Amino acid sequence: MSYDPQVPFQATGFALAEFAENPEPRCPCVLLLDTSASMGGQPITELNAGLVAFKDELMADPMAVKRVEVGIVGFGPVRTVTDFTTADVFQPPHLSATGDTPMGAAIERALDMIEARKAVYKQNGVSYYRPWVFLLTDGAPTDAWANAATRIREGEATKKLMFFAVGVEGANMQILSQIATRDPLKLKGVRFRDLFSWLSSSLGSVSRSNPGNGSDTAEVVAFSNPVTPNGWASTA
Amino acid sequence: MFDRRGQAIPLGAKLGTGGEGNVFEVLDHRKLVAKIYHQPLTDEKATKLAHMAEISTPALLQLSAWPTDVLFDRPGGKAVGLLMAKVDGHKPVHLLYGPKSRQKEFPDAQWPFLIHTAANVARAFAAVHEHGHVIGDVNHGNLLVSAEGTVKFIDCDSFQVHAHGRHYLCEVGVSTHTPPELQDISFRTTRRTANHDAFGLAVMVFQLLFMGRHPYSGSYLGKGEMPLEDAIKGGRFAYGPGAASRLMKQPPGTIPLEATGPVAPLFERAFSAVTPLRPTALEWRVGLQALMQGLGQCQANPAHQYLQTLATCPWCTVERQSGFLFFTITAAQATGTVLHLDVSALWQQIKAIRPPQPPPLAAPSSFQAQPSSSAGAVRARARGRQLIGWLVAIAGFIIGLGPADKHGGILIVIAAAFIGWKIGSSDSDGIEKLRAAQRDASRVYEDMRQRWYEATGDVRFSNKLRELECLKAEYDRLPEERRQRLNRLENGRRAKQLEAFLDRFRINAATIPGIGDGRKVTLQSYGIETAADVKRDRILNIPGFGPALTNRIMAWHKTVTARFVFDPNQGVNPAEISKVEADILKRKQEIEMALARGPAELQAIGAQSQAAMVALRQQVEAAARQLAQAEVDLRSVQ
Repeated sequence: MSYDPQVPFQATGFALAEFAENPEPRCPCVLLLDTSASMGGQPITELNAGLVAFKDELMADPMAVKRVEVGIVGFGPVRTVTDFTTADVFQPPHLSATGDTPMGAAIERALDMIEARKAVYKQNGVSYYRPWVFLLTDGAPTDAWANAATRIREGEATKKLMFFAVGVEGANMQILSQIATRDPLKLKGVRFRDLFSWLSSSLGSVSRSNPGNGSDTAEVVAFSNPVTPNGWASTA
Repeated sequence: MFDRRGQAIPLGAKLGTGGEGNVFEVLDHRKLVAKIYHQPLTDEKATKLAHMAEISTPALLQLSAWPTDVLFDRPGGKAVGLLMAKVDGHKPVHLLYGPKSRQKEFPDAQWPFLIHTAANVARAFAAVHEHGHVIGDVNHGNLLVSAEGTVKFIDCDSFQVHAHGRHYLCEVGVSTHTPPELQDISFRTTRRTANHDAFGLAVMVFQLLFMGRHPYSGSYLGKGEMPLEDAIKGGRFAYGPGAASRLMKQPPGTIPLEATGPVAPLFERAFSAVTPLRPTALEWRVGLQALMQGLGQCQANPAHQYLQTLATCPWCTVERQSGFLFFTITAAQATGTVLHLDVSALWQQIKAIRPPQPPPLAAPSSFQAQPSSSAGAVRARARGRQLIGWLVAIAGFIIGLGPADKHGGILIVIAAAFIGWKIGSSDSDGIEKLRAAQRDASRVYEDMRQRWYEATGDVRFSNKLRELECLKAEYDRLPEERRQRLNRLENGRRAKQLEAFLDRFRINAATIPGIGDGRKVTLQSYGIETAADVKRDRILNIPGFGPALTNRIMAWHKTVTARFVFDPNQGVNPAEISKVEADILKRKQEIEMALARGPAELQAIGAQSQAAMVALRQQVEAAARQLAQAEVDLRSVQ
């Protein structure tokens, strides 16, 4: 599928203050959060607490504060909860669980947001790292998701993005593994806080010293494996 | 923990956690800290640390947290950590070169401070290189800067160290500061050189001088994407005259390379070729000092310093382009203790200018006039008519009372008297002309008098003076106004934090007794979405929300508000302080400019009055004389 993202108007010769005040290379990360009715109760409460912890963890890393840009897409219904903001400006939203699970549309929204954001980076002469899309769900898509899956595969193949899928109790891990190229992970219980702590630390690693084996930056990112006895995930 | 001599080193509180290990305070040793690694040290690394401690010099200890000893888990046991000097009062260099973090962490730092710090960075690199070592992992976080712009390296255990004939490698790096020729290889097996370090040094100097921009971050003019690492490999320096030939364009809102004067050719050498002989630390130091000497202050904004060989201030340009103020005007610059204009002296000058003193106006009464000849002729004609009138009247009297007495003579007397009076007093053209002349003369004189007062009177002068007095009063109040506005920001901090806190509690996620989904939708449609929107009056105005429901919502609002904790460490947004400072400074400069024009304007008013007096005086006198004449003439015939 070919499409051309819209780009906000910016007069020639003018610059956006957000990049003047902070020109560090950006690492955009979209959180694709399932807010369908089945997430109600403890899961959504823990997810909200996890988002607050996510901000706090990012704030504790002075370079992550400058580089990581968080955007949040909730589904369903699909809506942009937070447009890309650096961690210092990011306000953790308070999500509530309603509606169905239009996962396909949500993924496409996230990919569109990333393309639009990249155009803004280019306009302002700011470098960026490979964008992350982090999907969190407790169900299965209630809409068509084949196109979304194709776009993810293309993005991964051309190293334009990294897609991670995490299933909460009740998630259809089989469909997740058809959407994502990486193996989907299964969250243990409702350990959202541990998950976001890991995510924050992984995102922060783009600015840390590394042995430099010549691969592109995205792959230099050192993931600590979350699938350990003490980790927050297990494989499906 | 035990040192190399087997002496026990008692550790205190944990000071911090890093990627490689934890840092602890050392009891009884305020100036030392201990780093204990997460992973046990290899023999190679333990030997490296021991050798580093052995070859330390006062110079190295002064510019870095150089390891001073190795720590073991028991005397002669396994190496687990190191001792080093504690680095207090220093902050990572990226907090200085990043404009937003600089506002908070180094609020008074302007361009000269950044250049000065860059020169100190060059001095520190030069010293390390003179010792035969290489920093290797040059990055934004392991060089710290003090409030005075002096710098210190931390994490020195990763340095490439030359000791006892061996080169201990630096096994890590960050891609943003890695030269093109090392981008594709593993640091674990590569021996690095001072010329490799020179690339990282050049990047750091560039970031300090260019508001945190990376030399290779720009708009790529070719097709597809241009990751930073690829741009470095391809020598695609985004600045300078050759940028377009490298398919790069510098980002909007950045100063041109020429703005760095003597340093510009060094940047070109460091960045535009793929494997050049890069400028050495010493060359940077010399170039940066030369740049510093060429700086001067911008007339429009004292926070701007720029190379005086440039036609205009580049900071004014980029601040207009981005709407972001890169440098905070310091308190001294804002309140005017370093006035470039001496306002009190200027005010003395203004007060000393005397208002114009017009001579008294020439009044018609000051002219002695004789009735003119034309007035005499009019008078003579009038006398003749009067005579004829009298004759007619007398004749009528005689005829009426004599021969015609019995035939209605009284009527003849009355008619003749009337005719006689009519003839004697009949309005001649001459008198009417004299009246018209008097009216004209009077009008001309009034007109001249008006013009004289307007041109020579002190109305214009006193109006201007009053305007200047108002400006001066406002000028004197500026420091107080600045203080009040900053106070308001400070006082608004709590309210803003509370607002942000309350805004996180959404009504539709809240459990409020009696407020179901339907009522939540109603609240939202009236714009009440979070606890921050909850105001008693607003809710009472919503149809269907009486005092009982409103009280329930207010009770929820109260419990949410009770959870708010004010964070006094979360300061006022530096950008808002900057805005106040900029507003005050702008007004100060406007007033200064208006006051500076004051003496000349007052003098111009005086000079104009003088010229008007010369031009008008004769005309006024002529008009006054003419009016005097017209009045005398008119009086002479009445």
